[in-house]
Amino acid sequence: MAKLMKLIHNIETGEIIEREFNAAELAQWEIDKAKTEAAAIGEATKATEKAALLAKLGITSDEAALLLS
Amino acid sequence: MTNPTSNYGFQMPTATDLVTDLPADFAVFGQPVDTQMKANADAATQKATLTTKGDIYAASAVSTPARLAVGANDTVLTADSTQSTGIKWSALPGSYTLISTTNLSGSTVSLTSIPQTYQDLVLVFRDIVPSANDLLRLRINAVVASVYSPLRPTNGAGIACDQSHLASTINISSSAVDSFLIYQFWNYAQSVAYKTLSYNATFLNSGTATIQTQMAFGGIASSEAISSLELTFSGASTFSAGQVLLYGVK
Repeated sequence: MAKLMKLIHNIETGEIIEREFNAAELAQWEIDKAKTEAAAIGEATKATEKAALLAKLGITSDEAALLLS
Repeated sequence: MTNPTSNYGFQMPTATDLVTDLPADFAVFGQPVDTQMKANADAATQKATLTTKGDIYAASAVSTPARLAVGANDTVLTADSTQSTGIKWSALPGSYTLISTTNLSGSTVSLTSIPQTYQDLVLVFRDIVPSANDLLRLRINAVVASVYSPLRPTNGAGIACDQSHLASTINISSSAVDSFLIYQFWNYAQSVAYKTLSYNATFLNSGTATIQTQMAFGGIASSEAISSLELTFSGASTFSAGQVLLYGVK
């Protein structure tokens, strides 16, 4: 994996530095990444379950929406 | 001419005075004139107080004129009792001041030491290009707790998302197409109440490959004054291009 870089712009001084992530930032990045992946899996699972239910009921998603409107 | 004189009552010699009395008469006349002229000069506003084009007089106390130096271009006079003259030059209310411009690169961009002297803060993203289709994320003061509400479009329900950051609501395409996102944080420098913000965006939706516009509102359950902003993507993308401009609103 390419090194993760952070650009820091100090607005007060105008100083701009670019450095590698430190350990804490890397750990947070891993946490965020895991959450994003979990959310994506959750969305995919939900979509699959929805499609399976519609197939079981023999209706389309538009027809399901009409029923619920 | 009346004798004594009509304005100050200076006593002058009369036609019947003896010539030998003239020195004494001049003393009677001259000293009050000298005293009065000095008093008038002391009471006058000195022209030399104004040293520069645009300077104006302002009272620092009763009958105490002082110099107020000319302000910066496009500023207006504003009453301020904390100033020695009671007034100051300041930006027009509601005007935008460009605080900084940052070229985006790397995985994360942090804007730190944000001045606390404005009413609102406006963050403008211009021409962002992620290295892969991705959602833009934003955090304040490096807060990673679940305090960020989902952005709520004006025409729909809030977008479900992990609440440990503010997120753009649609994937931004990595195609080199102009994108424009604006976040406005209201009353960002106060530290007693939660923060609210608005979000306006125009960008290429990576899912539908169409230009989309959105307007949404959100909130942050944190009463910290916003002193830093951290910008990143939800995936592993990096900033391939783009700028972020930070404006202060008076």
